[in-house]
Amino acid sequence: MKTPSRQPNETLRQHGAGLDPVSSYVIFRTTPCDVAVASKEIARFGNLGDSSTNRLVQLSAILGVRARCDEENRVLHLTASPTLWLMVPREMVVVGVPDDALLAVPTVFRHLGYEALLIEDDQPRALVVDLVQLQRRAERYLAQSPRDATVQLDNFTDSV
Amino acid sequence: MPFELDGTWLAIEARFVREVVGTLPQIVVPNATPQLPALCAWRGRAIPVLDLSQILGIPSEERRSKPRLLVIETGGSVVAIPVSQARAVEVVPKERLRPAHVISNQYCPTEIHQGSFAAGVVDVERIVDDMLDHSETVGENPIAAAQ
Repeated sequence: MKTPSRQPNETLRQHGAGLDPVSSYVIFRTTPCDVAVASKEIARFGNLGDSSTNRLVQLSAILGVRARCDEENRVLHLTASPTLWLMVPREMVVVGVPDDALLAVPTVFRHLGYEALLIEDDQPRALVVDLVQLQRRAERYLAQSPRDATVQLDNFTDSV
Repeated sequence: MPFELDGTWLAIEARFVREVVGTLPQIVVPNATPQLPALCAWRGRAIPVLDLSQILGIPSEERRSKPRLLVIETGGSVVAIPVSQARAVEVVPKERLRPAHVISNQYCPTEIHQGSFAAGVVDVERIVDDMLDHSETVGENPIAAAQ
């Protein structure tokens, strides 16, 4: 994957341009709210196709959201969990997010699988997914619904 | 501080009120409880939106628009409560506090009486304590858990 853009704070400070440190996030267009994952946590993207896996789970099923466009036909796997594939909405956008635009959510919402509120133009834009919980839930989901059939994947890309 | 919620007058101890603001953009949180359905951003913090109508059991057919938000802080937690309108803070002598009968709810144990005006006093400390603690378990309804 192209190097996701968490730029070293020091570099920015040294250049003294008054810029905030910026991280890259992928925002998936879902209802009732958009959800976001840090780009650096995504190892690869692909499409449903010729390769196969029986370890595919829908992001929406785990988080209780629904793709806005009703097309959930892209797949990705996370850097920390290379054998687990997540089916994600086709509609997504990559944004640069300054650190002060990420607000930690109260504990009550962390238990729902989110770790931060992403702000854009002073308004809530998306909920940032807690990936540790996401993987845990995905594994639980797979354990509860074991399947013999494999799902076809292909067209992997290294960038969003 | 007296405020109106879906046609019912209530009051909250002013010491808990940090700010009264117009509506703030909210984001609905998937799988959240009806009592804490959303988040909003306030002064660099993500704070829960607390649906007091749900908590007090106000029937849905009586629900009205809520163009104001009370930002409440208690026990280190900050929450936003949408309300229909809010009035200026008033000093109320203790003798005007009576056991509640306008709203019969565990979170509204007393009322203020001033002439013909009566307002249920919301026990916001208890609400925040219960909602933020009992909701720790995913999917658990804090109201049901409290009963």
